[in-house]
Amino acid sequence: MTDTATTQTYALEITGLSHSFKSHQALNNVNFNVPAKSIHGFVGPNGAGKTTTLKAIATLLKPQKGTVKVFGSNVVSHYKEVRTKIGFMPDHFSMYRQMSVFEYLDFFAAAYGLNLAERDQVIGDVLSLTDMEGRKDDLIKGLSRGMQQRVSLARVLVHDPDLLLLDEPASGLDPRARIELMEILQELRNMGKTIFISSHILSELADLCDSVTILDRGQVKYTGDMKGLLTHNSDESEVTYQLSITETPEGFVDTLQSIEGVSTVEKIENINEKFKIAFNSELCSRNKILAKALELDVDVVEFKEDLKHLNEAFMNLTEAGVREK
Amino acid sequence: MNNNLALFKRAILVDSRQLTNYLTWLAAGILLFFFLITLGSFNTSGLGIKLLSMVAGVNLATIVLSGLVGFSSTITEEKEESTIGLLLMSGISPAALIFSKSMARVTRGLFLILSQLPFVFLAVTLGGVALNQVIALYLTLTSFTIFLAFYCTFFSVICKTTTRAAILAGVFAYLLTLLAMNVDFIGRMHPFHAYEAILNTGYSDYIFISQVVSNLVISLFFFMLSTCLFSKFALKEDGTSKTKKTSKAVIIRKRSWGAAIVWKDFKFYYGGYKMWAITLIIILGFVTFTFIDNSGMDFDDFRGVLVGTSVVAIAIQLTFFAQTFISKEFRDLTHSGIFITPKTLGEIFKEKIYAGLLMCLPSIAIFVLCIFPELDLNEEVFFIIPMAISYIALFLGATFFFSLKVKLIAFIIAGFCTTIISMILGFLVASTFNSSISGISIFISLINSLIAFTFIMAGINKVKSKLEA
Repeated sequence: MTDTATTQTYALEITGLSHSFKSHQALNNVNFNVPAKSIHGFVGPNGAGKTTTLKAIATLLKPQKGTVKVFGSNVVSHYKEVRTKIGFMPDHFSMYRQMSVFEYLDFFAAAYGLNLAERDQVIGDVLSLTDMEGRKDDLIKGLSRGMQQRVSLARVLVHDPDLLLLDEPASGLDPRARIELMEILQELRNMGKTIFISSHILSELADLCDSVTILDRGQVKYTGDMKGLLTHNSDESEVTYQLSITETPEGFVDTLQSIEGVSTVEKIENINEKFKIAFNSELCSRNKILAKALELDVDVVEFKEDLKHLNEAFMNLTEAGVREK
Repeated sequence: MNNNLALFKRAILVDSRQLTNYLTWLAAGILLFFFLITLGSFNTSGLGIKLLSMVAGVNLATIVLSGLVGFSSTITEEKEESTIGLLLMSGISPAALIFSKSMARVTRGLFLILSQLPFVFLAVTLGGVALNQVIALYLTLTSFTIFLAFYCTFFSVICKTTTRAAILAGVFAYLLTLLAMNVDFIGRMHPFHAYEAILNTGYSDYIFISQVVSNLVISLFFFMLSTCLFSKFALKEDGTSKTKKTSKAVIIRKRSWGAAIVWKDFKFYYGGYKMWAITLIIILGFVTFTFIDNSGMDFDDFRGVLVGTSVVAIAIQLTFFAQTFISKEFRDLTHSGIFITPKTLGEIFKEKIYAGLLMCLPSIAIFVLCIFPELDLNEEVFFIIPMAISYIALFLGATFFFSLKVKLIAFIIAGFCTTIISMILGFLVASTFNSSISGISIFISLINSLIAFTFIMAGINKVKSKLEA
């Protein structure tokens, strides 16, 4: 029934997923896995195919090609089982605005088959987690967007799913609500939940996610851990380091430049005298550069690998322009 | 001035892109075409005036039906899109906003009337219709369209949503018609009265002055009233003042039933037990009113009125149910929450159908209790029942299907489809069966059920594609 033996460590496995709407190829051979009990970012520009992928995972869309497995269960053949394991929060607010917060959660808990006692328990828990206990008797239509987002998250949690699918959960939220939401998500990860979070802003997820998948024009451009993305480069032997010193001696740049394998030495900041040094790791080493700098009797404040800026990485991986059909 | 013109132009452009307008034109055209076919059965002179009467009737019906829905969204659509503030910021005054948008709707209405001009020319050609009658008829329709536009705009200003505005406008229009039938002074303002005069052979005036002038004066009154009330109602924010009120309203916390979707739909879509009470009050109130009005009523009459009112109530409730069934979930963007609960599509539909039936329970109970003790199941009744049920199924199936495509007028389109199908079946039956009730019933029931099934399956496919989109 479920091949749990082989897939126990993955909350989500997507293999060869393709889907098109008429002539528009929304997804083209998408492959990636999400480890259990982690926060996985799913990033891509508008129209990349994020929502289509999420709908396929959430059993709302039947993939035309490929397989999607949630904790080993196929989303097509075992959709009922999958639905009990996932909690899906779409990018729009899926809310019955004329209900009170309590009624809304009670309704969904009942829809998932919980009895009265279980519902009382779980509603208390999710309200406490989302800090909405004091507003449980308010009508949803009277709540602010941030609060509605919390209620929406509480709704996703009522049946205690193992995998949370969140589609652009922070869009439209003010900075405070955004930070609070991220805190709740971290708490949920600590509770053992796997969180799959989609966004079109990579930097928003940088501090939160353990791993990330970048999707562009229906294709996976990168999947792996966050650090791998930041160091991801077409020429893997090319490495860049940052060196901060207190005072720059005369001929410092020329000396470093003369080391075999060093391609560029650029000053990037006036304060603290910060330099960016690019070199070929096969011809040179960081120890060699550091030793040379120390030979010049400089006071080294910091020497670390230069991780490319997130937006730069994102721009390198994705293509510019509007997607054609 | 340029702003106002731009707004008028925008409204015309937006309206011209709406498929429903063209569907209404098509529907009116087809209906007239069918009337034209039946015209052949008249062997009298004055065919022209008969055709003109049909054109006038179709025009009035389409203006009232499409107007009550279309004109009622004049301001509410801006409220629903939160664009009123933006429009006012661009220097447009409330009066200009109301006038420009209402006149755009009037233009739309006039296009609808004018699209039937070929039939009018045919009526003139057939003879018995003078040019002044055509002019008088069109002036009546134009003034009535203007009246209806500003009348509906008034409700659009004071109501929050188009649905509420359309319902209120419809209820008051019904009451006004009742009043017009009983009070002569008001009756002279009604287009029916103008029709009676204009569509008589020998009518010589170019204008039915009392109706045209009164309609225009009342339009002006509604325009001024809407402008005065605009800032009080249309600019009201749905903000914090609401929260205080609502917390009182939910002191008694409602608990979901095990059949959660039945509970949700019954309580929040169909009004719950309050709707039961309202239905009973309306049915019993109407019966009491009839009883007071006709003191000589016996028990059978009393039961007859109960059956009649409960049938009307069931019809309204079932129509509302079919129109709301799934489309509301998509309109409110709540569908993804429902469809990822561990239930099949069939289970979700089943619960939704139960909720609809639960809404109709009081009226169904009254109908059953009144009709069964005296039900004479003779051959005619035995065969008419399945035929009637098949028509109801066809109408409800079509309403369900069209509700996934258009917002408010699904039931009107469905009603039109049902009428056309019944007309076609009528022609077929008349030429195929020799008044055998059993044959007619089986034939019509089968065909209707087949078409209803097709509508339902097409609706289900539409639901699936909407979920994926």
